[in-house]
Amino acid sequence: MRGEILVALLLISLMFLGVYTGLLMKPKETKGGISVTLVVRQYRNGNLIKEVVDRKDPFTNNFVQILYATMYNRGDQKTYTMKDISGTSRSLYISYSGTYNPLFATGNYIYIGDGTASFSINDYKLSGTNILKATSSTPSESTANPKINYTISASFSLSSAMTISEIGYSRILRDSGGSYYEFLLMRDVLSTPISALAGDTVTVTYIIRING
Amino acid sequence: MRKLPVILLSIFLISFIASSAFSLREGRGIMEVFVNLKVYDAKGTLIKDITMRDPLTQAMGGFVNRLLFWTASATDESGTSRSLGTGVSGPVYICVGTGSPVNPAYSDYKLVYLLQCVQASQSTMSIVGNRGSISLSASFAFSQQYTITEVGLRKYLSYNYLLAHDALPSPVTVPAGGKLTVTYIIRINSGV
Repeated sequence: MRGEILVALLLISLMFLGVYTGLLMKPKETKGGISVTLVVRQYRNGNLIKEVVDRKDPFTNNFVQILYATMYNRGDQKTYTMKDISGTSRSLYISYSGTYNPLFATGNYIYIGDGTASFSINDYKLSGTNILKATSSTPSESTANPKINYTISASFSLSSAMTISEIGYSRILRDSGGSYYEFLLMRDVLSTPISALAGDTVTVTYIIRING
Repeated sequence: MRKLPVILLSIFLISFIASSAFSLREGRGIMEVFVNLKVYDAKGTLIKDITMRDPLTQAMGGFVNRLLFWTASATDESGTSRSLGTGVSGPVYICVGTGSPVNPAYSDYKLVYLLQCVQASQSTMSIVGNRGSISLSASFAFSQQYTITEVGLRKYLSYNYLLAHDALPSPVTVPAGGKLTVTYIIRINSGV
């Protein structure tokens, strides 16, 4: 009996040793990357009843395009194309300082929806049929060298039940004709859907982490 | 009883692999910046080839913040904090230096000892599957031998902003008459 206990203790110790050694192998790399953490919380009667935390690859082609615009090297007035949230392709200028600059616009939004279609970089809207939209908060910033977090969030008070399975983030940009349109920059399909009831509150928080 | 060591070893290995796999998943990047350096001698023969991840600076944070959200500020290469405004277009440079950055940090805004900056080639963009990639490169020709120890990516937008900066894992010597090419690759959705 005593021998069996010793063997059991030995097995457990080895298991912990294996886990610990594996964790030691965790890459200490905190450089060279930007990560996006999505936190969705469901509240009922003021109590947190569910939290989903996902860290995926949510950037759409629209985001790639504006990042490319930033890295574009020479010359003003290059035109590039992005698809707005209605599915219409829009031409945008890369302009040094002109008023038709795409970033010369305000408006940031967070969406929740019931779609389950897999993420595609070509997504320009959420895939579901039951979709809610809220203006997102002003981004907050916190720095812990060499990392920095930008956090943006929105809150939804549900008037009817819905299953939340996808999240999106969009912003307004100005096209080359001076008109404003909304473009989806991130979309996530939740690892675990949230079944919410009428009266529930759902908060969505995006954490953009530089070097994290 | 003779099987006991095998069982013990198996338990250890399974625990190790499981925790390692979990750790690696957590460590992945969603947008990553890599830099590749190639050194050629005076005859054009490739003598060194290094690729590494490059840490991003506060200026890159400001640029991404501005793209995703609204206004942002960043510290330019003179050390002055500035609002980035809404401008986008401006040349991109790749810089090399001979300084000794200690633990290159998010707060970096310039190379420790700048040797030379060269305007990068026109950037290229590609999308394969759900991954995006933007790359740009520059070539440096040196008439005399230099030992390069740091590299950086600079964006000019009324002022110079250092977007990425790193110390090389080991100094790279470019012989007199040789050439150094530096390529930056930005991968988006790299964990898909």
